Amino acid sequence: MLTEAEIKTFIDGAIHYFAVSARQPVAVGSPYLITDGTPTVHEYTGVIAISGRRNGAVCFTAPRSMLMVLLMRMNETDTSETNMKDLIGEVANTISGNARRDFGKEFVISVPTVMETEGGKFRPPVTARPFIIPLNWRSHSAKLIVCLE
Amino acid sequence: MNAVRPLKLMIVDDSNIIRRRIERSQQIERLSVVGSAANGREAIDLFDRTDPDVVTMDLTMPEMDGIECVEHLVAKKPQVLILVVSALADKATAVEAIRKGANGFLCKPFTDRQLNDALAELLQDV
Amino acid sequence: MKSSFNWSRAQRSPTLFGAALLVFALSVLWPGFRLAGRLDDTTAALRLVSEQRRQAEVVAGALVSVRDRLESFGYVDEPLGEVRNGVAELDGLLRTLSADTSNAGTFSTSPGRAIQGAEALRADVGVLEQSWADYRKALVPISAFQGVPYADSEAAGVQLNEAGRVLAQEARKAIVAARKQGPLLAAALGKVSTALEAESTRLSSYLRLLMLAALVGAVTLGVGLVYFLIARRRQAALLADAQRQTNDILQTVKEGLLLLDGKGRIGATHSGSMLRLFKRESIAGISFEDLLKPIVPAKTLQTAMRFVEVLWSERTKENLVKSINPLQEVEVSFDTGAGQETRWLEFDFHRVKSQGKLVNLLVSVNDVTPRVRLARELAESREKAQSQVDTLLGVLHVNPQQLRSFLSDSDAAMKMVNAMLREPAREESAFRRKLDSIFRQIHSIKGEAAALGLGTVESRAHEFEDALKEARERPSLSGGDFLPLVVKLDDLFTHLGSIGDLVSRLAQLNYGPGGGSEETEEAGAPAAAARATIAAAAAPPPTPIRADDPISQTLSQLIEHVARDRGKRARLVAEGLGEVPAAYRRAVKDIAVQAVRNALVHGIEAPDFRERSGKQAIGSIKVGFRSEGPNGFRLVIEDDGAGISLRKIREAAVNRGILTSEDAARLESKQLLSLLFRSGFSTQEVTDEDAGRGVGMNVIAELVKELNGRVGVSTGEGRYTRFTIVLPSVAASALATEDVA
Repeated sequence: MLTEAEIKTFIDGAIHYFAVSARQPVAVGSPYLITDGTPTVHEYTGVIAISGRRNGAVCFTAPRSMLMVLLMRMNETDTSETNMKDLIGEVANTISGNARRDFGKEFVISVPTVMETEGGKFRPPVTARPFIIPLNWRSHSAKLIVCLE
Repeated sequence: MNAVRPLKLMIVDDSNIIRRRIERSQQIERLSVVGSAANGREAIDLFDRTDPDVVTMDLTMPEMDGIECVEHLVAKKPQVLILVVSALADKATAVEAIRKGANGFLCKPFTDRQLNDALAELLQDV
Repeated sequence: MKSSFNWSRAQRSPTLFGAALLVFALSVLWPGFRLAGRLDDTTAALRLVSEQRRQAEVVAGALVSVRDRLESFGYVDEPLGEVRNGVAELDGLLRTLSADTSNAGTFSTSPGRAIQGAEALRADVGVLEQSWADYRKALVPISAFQGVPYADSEAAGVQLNEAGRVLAQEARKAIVAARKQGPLLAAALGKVSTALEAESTRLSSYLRLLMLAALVGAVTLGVGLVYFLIARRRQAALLADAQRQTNDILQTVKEGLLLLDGKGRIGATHSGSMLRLFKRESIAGISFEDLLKPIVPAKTLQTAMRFVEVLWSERTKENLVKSINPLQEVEVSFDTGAGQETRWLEFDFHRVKSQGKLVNLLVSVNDVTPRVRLARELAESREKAQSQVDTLLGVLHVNPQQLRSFLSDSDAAMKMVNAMLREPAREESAFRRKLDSIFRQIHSIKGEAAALGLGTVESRAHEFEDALKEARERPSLSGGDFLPLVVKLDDLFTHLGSIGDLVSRLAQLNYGPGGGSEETEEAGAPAAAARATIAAAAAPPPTPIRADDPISQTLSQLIEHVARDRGKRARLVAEGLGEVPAAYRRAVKDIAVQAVRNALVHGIEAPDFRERSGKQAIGSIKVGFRSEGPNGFRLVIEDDGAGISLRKIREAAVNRGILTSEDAARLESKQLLSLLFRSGFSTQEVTDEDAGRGVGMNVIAELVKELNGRVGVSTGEGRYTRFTIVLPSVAASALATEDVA
């Protein structure tokens, strides 16, 4: 089970990422749980598998339109699909990696796996109740899915 | 102090976006990018071919991770300057990287300015 | 801490002094010695010259004597001897003066060196030599004369012989020459003598100057020496002072301080608290690794040593090093003999440089155990709250059928809360609406949990409400403020899930699987609740139940619990609660729970007060439900308590700034009573778990509104309070709550 401080770490990570990389703040929606079934995801999902002291996954899922704008904000002119996937993996990686500041070295993070999840559902690899942190950036919505046991 | 000696920069990161970003954003005049690699193994090949003076190094990468790669590069060329650019924000990792021979640590996400400051600090004694 | 004392200056002073002494010796004493030698040479030369100055005259006199004696046939050997002596003396003089004596020993006197050393003197001596050479030619035949100048014959008597005649002739010639050369020679000698005197004077004045310089130099050196000695003493005093201060500081500072040298050894200088922190007799001389080894796990030790290694590497920059210190909170354990003692230490490292070179690491150590303990205790108490023992005890006392219904209702309520959280919201107002809706759900869970005596659930719900209240009081709301709520919701889910598991395990323990269930499960209810039913069918009811339907059971238990806690007595008079249609069951229960709780807390008086007022000690709370056909249903909750004080409502409204005192005075009782249904309004001053959040009434109003019903209140001060709720017929009602679940 996650504590408030632990989830706060991920929320802060997301806020920090957008403030620094996109130079535009992200608004965090009220977090919620997935009590039954699987979380709904956007077109692309970057998954970081977590092992070591915790087990599970940290995912960042976002629609194509948002990734496109995000790339442009980062002065990246190449908005190809490859780069969008690259970006979503990098966001997931950065937020998870930053979490080690609080969780320590034993919070082992994998290299990102990027999935095309258009209209689909994402099944987290563990049985823990996933926490969903909605992120609203400009007119777009994305989600951070934290699923740790 | 030889302030004008040009230096060769190699970028190592598994993210293409980050590689391009560093290439685009770095504004240190003496540095010229000689190439970029997407993992530790590629980095070592590229290092042998281009003999860079300065390297930016991601840590979490497939094939060979950054820490291992730092170790290899320092063994090949002890005077190489390595700036670790990673999202891993814990101190033990930073200690480990520096112990293996890295010279600086920049945490992702970073602004262009932070990148340039970190590079400048890295080069201040050269 | 930087090494501020300038060692280099202190070390340089004696070296400087020695060098000054050497320079002084070389630049003053050696030339002085040389000068004195030359002066000595010059004086000797002068003496020689002076001695020979009259030699020309003596020789001239002797020549005349020779001539005269020859004429008178006198004894000539004596004047001849004088001439010879004169020649020899002057020869000797000139030999001495023009001798090249540069090889002569430093410590021997050498007049020739005085001449050779001065150009002018050499010229003068040249003139002298020339003059003497000329003179000497005339003298040589005389000085060389040997034998007797006379011949003694009978015939002639004493006469000059041949040699005598030559001698006489030569003597006359020499006298002529002497008349001419003598003064010249004397003049040359005089000149040399004068020059030597001048040289001598010059040398002695040089020597005087040199001696004066030496005096000045010696005085300067003396002053320097004195200054240096004083400075040294002062430095020593300062150093001793600094040392003493350092020791004082080291003994008194709370934090442990130690110095590590390049080999990782701990220096003799360390603070007294260091020994206390590490529970050692002495730490000087041992290595940092030895210090840590017995008290930290191998992994921590490895990280620590790696970090220290990085600190010593000078190519790692200070800022970087500071930012990566991994030893900011290290758990250490000491074997005290009577067991392990765990403490937490904070290490801080500073590099100490001297003349740009890293010489030491200053390590400060702080005991942060109290800070860490506090944090751990908070976490532990949290975990304790989750412990199953309390839960188990609570669960054992609850009627299983009620528990089943509670678990299923709570599950629905929590899912509702989650659905509310999930609803997209970007504006402040949307966030605020969420808070209000969530509050009602949690409040109803809390109410029911309290009724069932499930303390662990109740306390969680109460904490949840506190968090909600805190969020509500924030000047601005954003998604992040909901974080504590989600975490609490997660906790509540987990907790209720574990209650479900517990119940099912208990059921299996007692009766094995396959126990019958008397009611069909609602769709979406958790399996745990189904298992609870199993227990319900089999376990004997642990508390007396006065009515058959679950709502009555819940209410009478609520009354029992709350009355006991508040020292009140009351009974439930239930009517028609078994006939509540399924669609309204949950709503009616929630409304009744809130109203009954309010009645008990605000309405029913303490038993002795009631007796004094002529009432029965045991209060009565009536809850009636009846169908009114097409007009729907009517739910009435009435107590025979103190009623609602309009004065208190006025005061509360004014105090909370809802009304001005004038408005409050003007309002009629009906309008005043409607204030009770406002969100956040309460007449109770102290907030507790049972009532007084001003929520109960508001919850009733909101629930009724959601069901498209109406609510009314009437009261007689000191006599009764009656809530009348009218609900539409089931078909006409939009059952919002069921939709969401």
